[in-house]
Amino acid sequence: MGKLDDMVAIVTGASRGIGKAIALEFARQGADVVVNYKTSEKEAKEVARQIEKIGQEAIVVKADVSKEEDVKNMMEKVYGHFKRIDILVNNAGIMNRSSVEEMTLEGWKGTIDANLTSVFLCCKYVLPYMKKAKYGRIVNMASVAGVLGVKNTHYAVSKAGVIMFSRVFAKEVGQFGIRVNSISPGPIDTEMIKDWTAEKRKQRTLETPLRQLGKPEHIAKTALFLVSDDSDHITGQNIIVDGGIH
Amino acid sequence: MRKLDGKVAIVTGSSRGIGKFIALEFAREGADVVVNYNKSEKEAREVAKQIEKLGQEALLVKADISKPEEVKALIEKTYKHFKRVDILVNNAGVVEEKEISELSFKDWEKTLHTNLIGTFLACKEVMPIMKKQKLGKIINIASIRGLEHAGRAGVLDYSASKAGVINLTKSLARELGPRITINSVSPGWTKTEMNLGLPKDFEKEETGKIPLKRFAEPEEIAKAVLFLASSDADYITGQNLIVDGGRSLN
Repeated sequence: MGKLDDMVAIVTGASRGIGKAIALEFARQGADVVVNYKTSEKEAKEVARQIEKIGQEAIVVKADVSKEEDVKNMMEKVYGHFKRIDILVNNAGIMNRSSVEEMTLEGWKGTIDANLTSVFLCCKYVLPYMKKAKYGRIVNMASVAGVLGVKNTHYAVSKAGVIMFSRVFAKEVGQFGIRVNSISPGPIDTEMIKDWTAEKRKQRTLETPLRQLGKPEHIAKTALFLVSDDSDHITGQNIIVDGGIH
Repeated sequence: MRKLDGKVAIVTGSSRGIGKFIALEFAREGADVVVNYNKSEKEAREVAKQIEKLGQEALLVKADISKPEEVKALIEKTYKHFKRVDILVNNAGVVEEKEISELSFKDWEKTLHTNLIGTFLACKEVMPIMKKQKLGKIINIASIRGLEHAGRAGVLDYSASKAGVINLTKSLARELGPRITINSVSPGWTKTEMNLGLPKDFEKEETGKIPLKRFAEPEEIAKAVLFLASSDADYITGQNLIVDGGRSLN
């Protein structure tokens, strides 16, 4: 028996990296999964294929989650197909490196829209379905950058927004049987840190108390915990998964 | 495969309350469990019996966690018997429901010695074993009373001790080796013996302030501890996991 038998989960940005690991973990635990992507169609289809191999249903939905119409359509499509939405993982996000001095207004808005407005939109448009079912599990992907902020102000601010959104939204919807939490990964070994030099990787590994870089699977297991019955009394929390480095 | 197959876990103060539920949850997941108690021998034996029924081994060890030599003996007995200690849950705790005018220095000392110093002692004693194994999980039971802004009148000693536990956890996480994690769990209102005697009006009022509109079941605290004790949380250390239905968000 899986931890998510008969559940339907939407994972945004599930074609690659952490989102992909979460989608596959949920499928292994018995969930049918909506694989959302924006540009990586080929990769998304491959994730769907892997989910089907596990024995679960997967539907691939293209949507730019920072666009209201796209999000609305995605939710309608998913509900129309499965007649339920139990789980939403807002994972889609971007990171550009830039100082405030060099950041353009367009770049700033792009990051806030992709990382924070997307969370608002997906939560807003999934809410009617979850409220009706009196059941819902939402996990929002934040970052340790949103807790501490090292550099890249725009990114840190967007992720701090995600943490606070989760916290306040949790209070709003707790009475409807909906739980909302966020996860703040430290640097995870995905494309997001592909520009790190070998030396930087080594140094970061040594600085981390658990002596390894994070893997997408570490985040996936935490996401699983937060959407399963095992965490039924946990809401509004931000779980830092960073090997102790921060 | 279960989450704790082949593991040996010590749960301090596991004759009753949350500790008992943690011990049983661990056994269900395949761990052998050391059931520690101070006074409640009968209840501890009953917990051990239930663990054996689940098909796991239970070792009963009497120890007052506030006493250094007894904590040392607890860890030594465990190691001698099982030749390993994979998981330590520092759960034993006491509370004096008194305001400062009523709270004696002795009361204060008793709470601090059990809740905070006892946790330190157990961590210290188990550390050489976990370092040798290059493997270990420590989970300290704190409380939302130990959070900033969440203290409550009349539980001064308890709140201070639990704040200490949360910080001890964060600080110690930085010292530990590659495969040893330490985290705390902070329950809010939970349906345990400790809270059975709450006035009904007070309980109703408090329930209304919890976003999920209920107290936690002790099993739910045990599930959070299980998560942190399992390999699912291998990359989590130095964290405080709040299990309170959202009560402390306000």
